[in-house]
Parts: sequence; structure tokens; C-alpha cells
Amino acid sequence: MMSEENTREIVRAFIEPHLQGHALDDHTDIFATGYVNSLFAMQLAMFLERRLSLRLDAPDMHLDNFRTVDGLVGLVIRKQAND
Amino acid sequence: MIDRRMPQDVEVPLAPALPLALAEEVSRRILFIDRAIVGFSVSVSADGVDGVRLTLTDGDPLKIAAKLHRVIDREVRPLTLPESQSVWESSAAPTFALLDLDILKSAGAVRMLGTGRAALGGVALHLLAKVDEAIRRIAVDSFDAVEFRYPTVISTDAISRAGYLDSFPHHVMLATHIDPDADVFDGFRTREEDRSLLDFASDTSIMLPPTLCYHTFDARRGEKFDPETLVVETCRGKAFRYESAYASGLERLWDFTIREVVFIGTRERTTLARDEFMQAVQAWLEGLGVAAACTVASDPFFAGADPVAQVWTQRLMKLKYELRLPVAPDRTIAAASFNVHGDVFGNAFDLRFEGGGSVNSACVGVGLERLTFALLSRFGLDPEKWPSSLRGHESVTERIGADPL
Repeated sequence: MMSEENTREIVRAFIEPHLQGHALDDHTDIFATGYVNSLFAMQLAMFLERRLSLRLDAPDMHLDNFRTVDGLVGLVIRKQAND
Repeated sequence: MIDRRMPQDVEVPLAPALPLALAEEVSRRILFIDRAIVGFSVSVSADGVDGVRLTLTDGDPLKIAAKLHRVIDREVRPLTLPESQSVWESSAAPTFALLDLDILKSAGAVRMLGTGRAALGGVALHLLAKVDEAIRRIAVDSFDAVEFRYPTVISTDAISRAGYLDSFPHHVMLATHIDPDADVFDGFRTREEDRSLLDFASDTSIMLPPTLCYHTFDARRGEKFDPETLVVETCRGKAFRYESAYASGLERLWDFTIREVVFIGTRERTTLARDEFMQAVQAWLEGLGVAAACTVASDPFFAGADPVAQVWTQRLMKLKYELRLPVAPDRTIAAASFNVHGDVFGNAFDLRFEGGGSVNSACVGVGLERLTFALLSRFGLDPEKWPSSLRGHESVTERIGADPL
């Protein structure tokens, strides 16, 4: 199981290139930055499934899990703990 | 092959079964899979959606089943949808006048002109005008909306920019004219009976619009907007969506009327305006004592570039809410939608803020025939039994006189 610190690093490394240098706090709403559109959520989900081998289920599909680094890291940690 | 004179039911098992949450995504695609499919029902077991019963008039059932599997495997099976999310329910209990089409017809409220094409008259026409006026008043009085009336047809370029041709090819409605050429006119006049009219028409630069907000974006193409101002516009007009099959009556029409409200501004303000308009409509329905609910929804993306991503994103991001009203104890219909678009149309139509950056937009679309039908289903055909705000003739007469659409 990956550490929270590692997970955070990997998640940030995936998102940051899409933000054109915009500062990314762990609680920044990625979709409010204006640098990504709503379809980026699908890219995030595919990234979690492919890069981090998560299987996302219906109860995971809440926007709060996808719109910040904190949300994404929390989702990964919870899913890995339940596997 | 099936004898085309005898519709036949064919069972198509779906293995493994699909989650129940995907039943709607299966249902909304089936009638577009093959022209031979004239009816269907979805089989549900404890495992989920485990099969589809197709009613076929023609064709090879094995080939049609293979097509069905191909579409479901590509567009539905990969979806993991958020659980059903209702965001509002009115306090009124469902009550029904149980109107069927024959009752509406014999009361002079509806004339059916063909599949998916209906004329409204009498109390239905009166009610539609009152419903439209109620929504228009919310837009104008509470949101300072500016009113416009657009031509019915719209440029194909606008529809294309909006992404509709890629995302919803199954609903597209073309409009054209006979090519302006003396030889073509001669050939047209003397054509053989079975010759396609399209042999004489090549111009596809205009279309029938599937929704009305595209008119607004197209009309304002290339404009600059003040980031401090929320632009609100409203219009009413005809919209057209081809369907492979239509329910009888007013529930699903080929040619229908939308009261549309469009918001243009920042992401925060357009999203807030969408939500506040939805709340205003909810309050209006609550005041009428109508059973209704708003749920997170998605558009019927089909056969486009990436329908899975589009449906999933709309649901996750709550980009679309649908107003649903019961019309019978076992059936609800969607009568309005409340949508945020992000900067999709800002980019597509070059709508930018002064100082840079694409605008965001949102819209509300109310299907007037459907909402009218839902209210008739609730209150019946006798205006004396309707809420007082839906009665009263003067304002309706004025409105019809001013705008006979």
C-alpha cells in the first residue's frame, strides 16, 4: 500500500501539467481554476484506475472526491484500506 | 429473417447483468440501434439488468442482437455512475386525473397529426400559455432577463460548433430547399413519384434546432462580456429532435416548444443563477401543489466521440438537473432541465470577457407541452378545478395574441 505522501506526490504530478503554472494547493478546486474543463474529471478517474490500480464504484462517484488533491488522496487511501 | 408483417418478440440476454443504475442508459439507446426495433422492455432481476426483449418488424435477430451488444459494451458497460441523486422533492403527494390520449382528443385539447406531432387546443393551449407565462415571469421579474424571439431555423455551423453533430447525431433534423437552378426545377417538376426529394436538394447550411440556447450563443458570437455582469436572456421557440419511436400523446414529441433561459458570466455566477432559477421553479410548483422532483441527470449522448466520458462527467459534476413529474402512478416524465456548460459554449462561439478568458454559461429549458401534460394529468381538464393562478383568460389571450407561436 502506498503512503499518503507518495500518493499526494503522484496525484499532484498528474494534475500540475494541466494548470499552466497555476499554484495548486491541496484544497484548490481544480475545476474552478479555469484551466481544465469538466471532462478532466474523467481523466482523473482513469488515472486512478490505471496508474494507481483502483477500482472505482458507484459510491465513490462524488464530486468532492475529484475536485481537490485532498479529495483524491482521501479517496485513494480509503479505497486501498478497504482492499 | 422475420416476416415484416408480423412483429415478433426476441429475447436478448445481457451477461453479465448490468447494474440497475444503468437501466436508463440502456433504454434510451435501444430504439436507435436498428430501424426494425419497434418496441422493447428491459428485464431486471436481483442481479441487475439481465436482458432486453425486443419487438422486431424485420431484419435478422442475430445481427440486431449483435448490434445491441456492441453499443451496450461500448457505451454503457464501462459506466460507473454515481448513485441516483434526488436534490429536491415537492411536499405534494402524487394525485392523478388519469388522462389518456382519447380523453384529451375528445375534449378538443389535443389533435394528433402523426407520430410525435401534436396540435394543442382548448384548455391545453390555455394551460401551456399560463405555464410559459409563469416561467417567463420568473426570468424577467426575478432575473432581469432580456427577451428575444429567434427564427425557427438555425445555421448548421452553429449546431456544429455547439458539438451537437458529434454528440447527438441520432436526433439531428435537417432542413433544406430545392437547389435554385432552372434544370433542377424542371427535373423536380417532372420527377418520378418514387424519386427522393433529396436528389434535388444539396444545401444543408441550415437545420432545425434541437434546443434554443444555441440561438443565443450564435447571435452573440465573438462578443466581449463584462466579467462583473451576469447576462440573462430568455426566448421561446420550437425545437426538434428525431426519435426512433414516440410515446403516444404529448410525452415525447418530434416538434415541441421550449421556454429557454440562458445565463452568461463567470463560473460562479452562472452556476448560482442556474441553481436559483431551479429553486424558483420548485417554489412555483410547490405553490401549485404539484408532486415533482429534481434529480441529477445526463443528456442522451449516443454514438458520439466519447459518450461514456460525457455521461459520467455530467452526472459526477452535477452539470444537469432534470425536473420530473408523475403523469401516472407508474410513470414520471422529464419536463425541464437546468444545465451548466462550463466554458464549452464560450470557447465554441468565441464569447470572451473583456480582458480575456472564455465566459461560462448555463441554461434552463422548460418543455412546455410536457409540463402542460403533467399539469393536466394532475388537475384534469376542468379549469374550475385548477389552481387560480393557472386560470384567468385575459393575460393568456394577450400573450397568445402577441406571440402566436
